[in-house]
Amino acid sequence: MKLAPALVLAAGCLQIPEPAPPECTQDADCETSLGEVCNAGVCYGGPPSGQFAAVLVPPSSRSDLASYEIPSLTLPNDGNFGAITFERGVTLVGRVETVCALPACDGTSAGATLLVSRPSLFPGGAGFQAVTISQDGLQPGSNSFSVVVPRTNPGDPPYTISVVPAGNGLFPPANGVLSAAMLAPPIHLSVTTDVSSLGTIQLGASDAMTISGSLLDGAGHALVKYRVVARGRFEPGGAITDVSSVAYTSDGQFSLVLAPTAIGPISIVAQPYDTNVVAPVLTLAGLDVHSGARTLAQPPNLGNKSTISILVEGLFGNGEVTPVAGAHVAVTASYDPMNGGTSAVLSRGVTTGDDGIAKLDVLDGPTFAGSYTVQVVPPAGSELGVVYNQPLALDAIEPIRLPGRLALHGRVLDHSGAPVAGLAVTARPSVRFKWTMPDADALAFLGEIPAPTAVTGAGGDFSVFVDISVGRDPDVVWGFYDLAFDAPTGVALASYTVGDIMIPRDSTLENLTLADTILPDTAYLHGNLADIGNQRIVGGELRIFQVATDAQICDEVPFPPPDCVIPALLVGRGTSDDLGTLKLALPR
Amino acid sequence: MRHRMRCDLGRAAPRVAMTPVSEPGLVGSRTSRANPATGLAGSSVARALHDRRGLRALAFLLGCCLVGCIVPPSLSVDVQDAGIDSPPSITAVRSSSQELPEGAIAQFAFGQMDTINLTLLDTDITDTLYVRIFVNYKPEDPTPARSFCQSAAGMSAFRTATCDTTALCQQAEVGNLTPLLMRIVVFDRQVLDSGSPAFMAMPVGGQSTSRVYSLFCTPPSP
Repeated sequence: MKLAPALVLAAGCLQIPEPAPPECTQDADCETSLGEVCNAGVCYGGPPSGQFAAVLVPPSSRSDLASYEIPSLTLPNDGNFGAITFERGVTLVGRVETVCALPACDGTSAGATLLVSRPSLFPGGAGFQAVTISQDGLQPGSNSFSVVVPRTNPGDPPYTISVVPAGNGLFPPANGVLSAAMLAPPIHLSVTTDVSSLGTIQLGASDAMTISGSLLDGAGHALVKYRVVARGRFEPGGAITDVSSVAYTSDGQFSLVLAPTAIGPISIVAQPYDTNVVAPVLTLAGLDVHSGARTLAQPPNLGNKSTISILVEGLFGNGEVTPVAGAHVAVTASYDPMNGGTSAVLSRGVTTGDDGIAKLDVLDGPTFAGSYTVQVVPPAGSELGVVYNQPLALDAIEPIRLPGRLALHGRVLDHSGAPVAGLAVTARPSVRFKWTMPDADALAFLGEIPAPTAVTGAGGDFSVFVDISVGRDPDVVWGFYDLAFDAPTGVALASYTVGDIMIPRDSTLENLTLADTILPDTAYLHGNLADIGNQRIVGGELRIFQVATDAQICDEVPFPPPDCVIPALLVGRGTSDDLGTLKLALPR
Repeated sequence: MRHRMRCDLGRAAPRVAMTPVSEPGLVGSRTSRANPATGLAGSSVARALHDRRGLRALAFLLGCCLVGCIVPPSLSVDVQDAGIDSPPSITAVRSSSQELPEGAIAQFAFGQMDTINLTLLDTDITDTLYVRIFVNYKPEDPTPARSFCQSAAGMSAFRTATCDTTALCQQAEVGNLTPLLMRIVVFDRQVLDSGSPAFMAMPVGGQSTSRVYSLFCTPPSP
């Protein structure tokens, strides 16, 4: 009998949730005018209109599959995709070797990193990218790498494979061994999947062009402990990257093997790796791609190492001025000779401690003295803003007072007007904001600021803190943000983005209350993921993107990219369950 | 306009086959290995293992199980404490192009808008979960998270969180294809502004779990 109270007590734990009433029992319960049909208690269909594309992402358990793009996706009116068949990927295999250069010539494979990329098949998509590693030390006849990529269909662009030999880091390999990167340059290949075996990729060539030279300080003495490499492009308009072997000089002399497919102009970049030395990165730019001898001369009058302390503080809402911990402080000085020659850039970066102080080693000579600038990025989620390229006088260092960020307040309501709690809200610089940046450095700085985020409260309310501008000329660079509302699992709402919110041009503004965001009605779609063998795919993901069709912004911003392709907007995603079934919610 | 009552799509899943291989219940079907329904007390090999007090305790525990007080085991292997609080765990991580099992190679393009989606489990459904993504974090030279996001409490033990990864890579890290160490940490308490370890300190009782990846920072897609 004594058991009875315990069991009664335990029974208090019993919580059987009320089953949610079905949304529909027949098609007539749904918006049939939109195309909705009732399926297992849910009104599916009635998708939004527009131009859509998709990306299918396989689960990690299916190493035979690769993510691939569906450039044009028709959303089914009744919401049922049916079977979505995952194409089989193509496994590219091959072997990486460096050119046979005695005494390092033993015929084994070379370690390398391979970046496989392909432009997107739809406007504004991210394209395909994958990274794989080539194992070193494998005997001849074996493959040293493999990577699964989507099949190349007629009309698709080829893949670019960047093969970067191992051991190209800032520091030389331990024990004085020669790394692959010291023997041979990277290479870029253009391949399709017509042939899956790439054979042996040989890095370097016996008749490759070489650039040799020396590094000198301002007094003509050899500079030692520098990493030296040539940088350039492999294709017109491509990204600037290493296009030569890497030299780690211990006597001021260097020799670089150029990649045969590198295109000019190229630069020779020498970066110090002695952690006890404060010295600038030296760059000799504007060189043609041919063999020769070059001298990089460090500018004179750099001065001596000097440790500076910069206090980073912020004015918080309670009126207190407090040191800011966790802020990333970067100090930069540059020297650029007007008549060509070697330029020099000194960059130092550190994170502030609990006392808000950043201690950095700099050079105090006149060459750099007037050119120091400082950038500060506060820790993620801070109510304080960034500082970009603020002049820094070494002889009179003032505390840096971070500007307050603008608090964007808002409230999220669903289609019926009820507040929505638990939505993730993320503020991202909009395309307009990015394309107002006057140069690549400013754009890069914007990209290094963590996106502020918040979660809506019970009343659907939220606050996110954004920088009102970046830089010192707010008439040119002013903030515009996209607010992304992301519904978590279990909330039957579509994710939604409110685009291009303009920040009022008032630098004294501390708070801005936005109009209520009313989430659009949601369209539900479903389908089933399977491979070509009709085996269900569990844990695969379908991502649906809306392709931008209005390019008006290209005429409205001062610095659009040359192709002015507006990034496609992710509007929905779904992951297949144990049955291979996936469901998506899209905003109408 | 009719205001519709939307239900959880997960619960309202249509259990109909969409391909010949996806019969509902196929995955879950397995050979029963349950204990026999009839007692074995009368068997010659059966013997008492507990006295009456032990039997009562056993009955209480069984009673709890029967009425549904099931406490799922912790899946976390990270920070544990002696309290009854359950640590969070990471059940899945996805970038825009791949699912990322622990230790995988992840690549993100510098300056390109992207996200990481996490599926998390915390049986303390009242806990808000805070996600921080660190790159090359070293205890002797700690740097703050480059991405953060959170998952609200009160939904279910399973949650999702979406972290913006635009700032995960910095300009200086692009191009050399030298792998960085990316660590995703999930905290069940708000991370403190100060304390040790820096940028990961929590109030007493807070717990965390993490996953580590090799990160490659690539140039933006052409």
